Amino acid sequence: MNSKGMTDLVLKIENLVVHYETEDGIVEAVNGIDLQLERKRVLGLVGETGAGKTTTALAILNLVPDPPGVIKSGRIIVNGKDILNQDIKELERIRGKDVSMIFQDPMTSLNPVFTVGEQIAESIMLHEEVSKREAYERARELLELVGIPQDRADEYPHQFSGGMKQRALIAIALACRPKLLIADEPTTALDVTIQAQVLEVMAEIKEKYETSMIMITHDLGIVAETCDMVAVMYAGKIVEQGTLKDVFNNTKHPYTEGLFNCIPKINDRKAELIPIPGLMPDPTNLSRGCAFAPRCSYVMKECHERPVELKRINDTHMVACHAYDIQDFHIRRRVGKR
Amino acid sequence: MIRYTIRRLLMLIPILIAVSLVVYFIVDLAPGDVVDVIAPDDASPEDKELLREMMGLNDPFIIRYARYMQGLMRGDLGKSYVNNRDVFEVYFSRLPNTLLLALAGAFVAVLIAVPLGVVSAMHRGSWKDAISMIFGLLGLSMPNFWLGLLLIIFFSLKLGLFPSYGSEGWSSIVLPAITVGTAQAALVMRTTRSSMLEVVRQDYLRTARAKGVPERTVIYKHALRNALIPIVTVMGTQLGVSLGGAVFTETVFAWPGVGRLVVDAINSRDIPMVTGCLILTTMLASFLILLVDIAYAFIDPRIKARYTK
Amino acid sequence: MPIIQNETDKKAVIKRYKRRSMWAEVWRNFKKSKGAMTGIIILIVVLSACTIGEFIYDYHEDIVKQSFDQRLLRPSWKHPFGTDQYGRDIFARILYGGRYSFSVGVVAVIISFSIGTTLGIVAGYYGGVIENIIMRITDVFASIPSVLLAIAITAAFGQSLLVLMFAVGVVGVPAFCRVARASVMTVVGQEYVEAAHAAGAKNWQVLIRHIVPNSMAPIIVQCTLRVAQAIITASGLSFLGLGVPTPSPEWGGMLSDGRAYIRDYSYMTMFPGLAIMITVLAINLIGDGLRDAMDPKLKR
Repeated sequence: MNSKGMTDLVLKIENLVVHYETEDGIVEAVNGIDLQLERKRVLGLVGETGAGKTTTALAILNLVPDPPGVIKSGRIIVNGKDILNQDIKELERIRGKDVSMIFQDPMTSLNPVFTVGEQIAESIMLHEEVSKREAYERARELLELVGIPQDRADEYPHQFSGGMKQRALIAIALACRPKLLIADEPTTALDVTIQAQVLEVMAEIKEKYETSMIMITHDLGIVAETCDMVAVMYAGKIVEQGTLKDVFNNTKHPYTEGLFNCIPKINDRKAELIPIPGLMPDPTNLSRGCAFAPRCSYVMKECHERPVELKRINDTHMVACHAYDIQDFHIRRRVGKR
Repeated sequence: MIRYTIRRLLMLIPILIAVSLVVYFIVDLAPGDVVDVIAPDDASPEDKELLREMMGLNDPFIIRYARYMQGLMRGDLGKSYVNNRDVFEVYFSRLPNTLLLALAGAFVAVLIAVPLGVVSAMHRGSWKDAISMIFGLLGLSMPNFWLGLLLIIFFSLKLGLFPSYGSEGWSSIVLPAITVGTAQAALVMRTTRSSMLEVVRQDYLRTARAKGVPERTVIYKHALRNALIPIVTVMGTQLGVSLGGAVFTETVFAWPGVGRLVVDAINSRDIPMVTGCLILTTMLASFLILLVDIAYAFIDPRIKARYTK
Repeated sequence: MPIIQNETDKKAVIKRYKRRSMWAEVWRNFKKSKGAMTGIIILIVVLSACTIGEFIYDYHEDIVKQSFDQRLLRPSWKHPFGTDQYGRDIFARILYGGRYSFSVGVVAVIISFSIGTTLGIVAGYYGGVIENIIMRITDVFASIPSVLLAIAITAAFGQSLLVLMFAVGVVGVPAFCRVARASVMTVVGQEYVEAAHAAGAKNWQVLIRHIVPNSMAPIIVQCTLRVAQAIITASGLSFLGLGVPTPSPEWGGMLSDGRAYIRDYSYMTMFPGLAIMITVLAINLIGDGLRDAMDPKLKR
C-alpha cells in the first residue's frame, strides 16, 4: 500500500494534539495521533466515551469548540488542503464540500425552525452555483436517495422520526458529494432496527459517491460490518491500528482485547463477559507512561514510566504496547472464536 | 392558523370581561362620591340623594357594571366629570400619541438591544460583553421618569438640542422615545443574550458550521431565529407595559397621551375617565399579548403545529 | 471482578464525582461573581447609611422642618446634596427616605411571594381544574398593565405607605405564580418525585420534602429581582403623587419636587434619582449573581 501515490490519500493527520483548557485544568483530549485514509476506504475509529474520537473528528473540520479547545500542534491534510492553516473563508468552502460530518444525536442536530429541504438545499447553495429552486429540487432528490419520500422535504424536523432525522442529516452531509465523510456514532441514538437501515443507506451512498469515511463508534459489530481499517483510541492516543483483519483476528493491544471481551457472544452464551477493570484516567492528569497501564492485566514496571509509541507489527498493523518488546509475548484472547 | 386565531379571539372575551370587572370593581372602591363633585355647593343632602337615585348610583354593583359594559359596546363610557367630554372620544383621540411613543420606544429598543445582546452572547466574558451587561443593568435599574428628567437636563436645558416637552415636530419625540426605549432595550438585550447563550450550545449550529455556513449566517440566521421566541415575548409584554408605563414618560415630557390622561383624571378624581382609560388600556394590552402568541407560530413551526392541532 | 480495584482509583472517582450540596455549590458560584459581590457591598453601604440616618436625624427637626433662609442652597460641605425649596437638607432626606423604599420593596415582595408562590405551587402540583382556575385568574391580573393596576389600587384606597405596599405587592403576584408553577412542573416530572410517590409518600409529604425545596431556585431569583422592580414602581407612584404622601421624604416624591426647579436647581432631581438607581442596581446585581449561581446550565 505504500506504493500508492500521495494523491490517493484523502486524509492525513500528523501528530495532532488537542487540549481543552478549562477552569479545572487542562484536559489532554488528543495526544499526538497520526492517521491516514485512502480514497473509498472506511476507517473505524473505536474507543470508549472520552477517548478523544469526537475531538479528532472536529479537528478535521477545524471545528473544535474554542474556547476551551485549543489545537496545540499537528497537521491535517484533507484532499490536499492543509486544514489548520486556512483562513476562515477557505475553511467554510472546505466544510461540507471536501469533508462533512454526521453527528451523534440526530434529535438535536437539525435546526427546528427550517424545513428539512431548506437545510439540505442550504448546503448545496453554499458550495455550488445554483438557483434556490434547483438546490431545493436537488434536496428533494437527496431525500429520496436516503429513502425518504420527496414531498416530505417541506416538513420540519419535529415531524420526522429519529431514523428519518439521521437520514436527513446524511443527506445534508452528502449534499455536495464530499471526498471525506465523518460519521460520529451515527446510530447510537437510534433503535436497533433503524440502525441497520441507516448503516445500509450510508454504505450505498458511499459506494455511489466514492466517498471515504471515518466511522466513529464504540460498537465493534458496526466496525466489522462497515470498515476496512480500524484505529483503536485510548485516552487521546491510538493504541492499535490496522486493517479490519489485523485488529479483529490478530488483536495485539490489551485494551483492544478488553473491548472484545466485553461483547456477548451469541454462539457461546455461557462465556463470561470480562469488563475492563477501572475507569478511564483523569484526562487532566495523564501519567508519563502508558495511559492504560493502571487497568492492564499485563502491566510491567516500565509501563508506568516510559511513554509508549506505535510500533509496526507488519505492513499495515501497528500497536503501542511495551509488552511487545519481550520476545514471544502474546495476549490471552483466543482469536477467531467470534 | 386562522381557526386558531379565531379561537384565541373568542377565548379573549371572557378574559376581557373579567379584566374589566376587576378594574371596575377596584375603581368603584374609591372613596368620594360623584354627586359631591358635580352637585352645586348649596345642594341639600336630600337633593344629593335624589341625584344619586337618578344616576343609578344606588343600584347594586353588578347592575352598574352591566350598564357600564352595555355602554362600552356602544362606545359610550360616560362623560368626564371635569369637562363633560365623552370618555370614549377623549381616550381614542389621545391613544395615537401613546401608541406612537410606544412604537418609537420599541424601535429604539430593538435597534440597540438585539445586536447588542447577540454580540454580548457571542463574546461572552469579553469587554464587549461587560459593556453590554453594564448597559443592561443600568437601563434596568434606572427609573425611567428619572432618565427622562436627566435627558431634559442635558439635551434640552444644557445643550438645547431637543424640546423638553410637548409633541410638536419630530424632534419632540426623540427624548420621550429614548426614555421609553432604554428600559425596554435593557430588558430585550438581556433576554437576547441569555436566549442566545442557550441557543449557541445547540447541536444544530454545529451541523450548520460543518456544512460550511459562514459564521455570521450561523449566528443571525440559524441561531437568532431560534432565540427569537423569548425576545418576542419580552417585546410584546413590554409594548403592553409601555402602554401603562407611559404614565411616567408622558408626565415627565407633558406628552399628550393616554398615560397623562389617567394621571390627570386621578388627580382630579374624574372617576369615569379613570375607569374608561384603565379598562380600554387593559383591553388593548390583552390584544397585544394575543398578537405575540400568534407571532410565535410564525417563528417556530413546532408551536404552529401545536396551534393547528 | 470489581470495577474499581485500587485505592487511588477510588480516590480519583470520589474526587471527580463528589457531589457538593446544592446550596454550597450555589454559594461557591455566588462568591466568585464580581457583580454580585459589588452589589452586596453597595447594598450594605446604602443600608448602613440609611440606618445611621435613622439615628442622627430627627424627623421633625431635620426632615420636614421648613427653614426659608436655607432654601435652594447648592451642594456644599454643610449640605452635601444641597437643600430643597423649603430649605430642607436633601442629604438627610435621602438617608431618611431609604426606609420607605426598602420597606415597600421588601413588604411588597413578601406579599407577592406568599400569595403568588402558594398559588403557583398548588397549580403546578395539583393540575387539572384547580390549575386552570388559578392560572386564568392570574392571566386576568397579568393582562392589566402593572403600573395601571397599582394606580387603580392607590386611587381606590387612598394614599398611604400601607396602600403603596399592598398595591405594589398585588401587582407582583402573577409573576410569582407563573414562575412557581413552571418551576414546580419541571420538578414534578423528575424521577425522584415519582420514586417518592412509588415509595408510598403522601401528597403533602412529597410536596414539602421534594417539590418545594427543589423548585425554590427560580423563585428566590424572582424575589430579588422583584424587590428592585418594586422599589422602582413604588417611587414611580410617589413621583406621580400617588405613593407616600408629602412631606415624607420618599425618593420618588423628592424627584417630583425637584421637577419644578429642574432648570436652575437640577441637583434636586439628580440625587434622589441617583439614590433609587444605586439601590436598585445593587439589588439587580445580587439577583443576577444568584441566578447565574443557581443555573447549572450556564456553567462551563
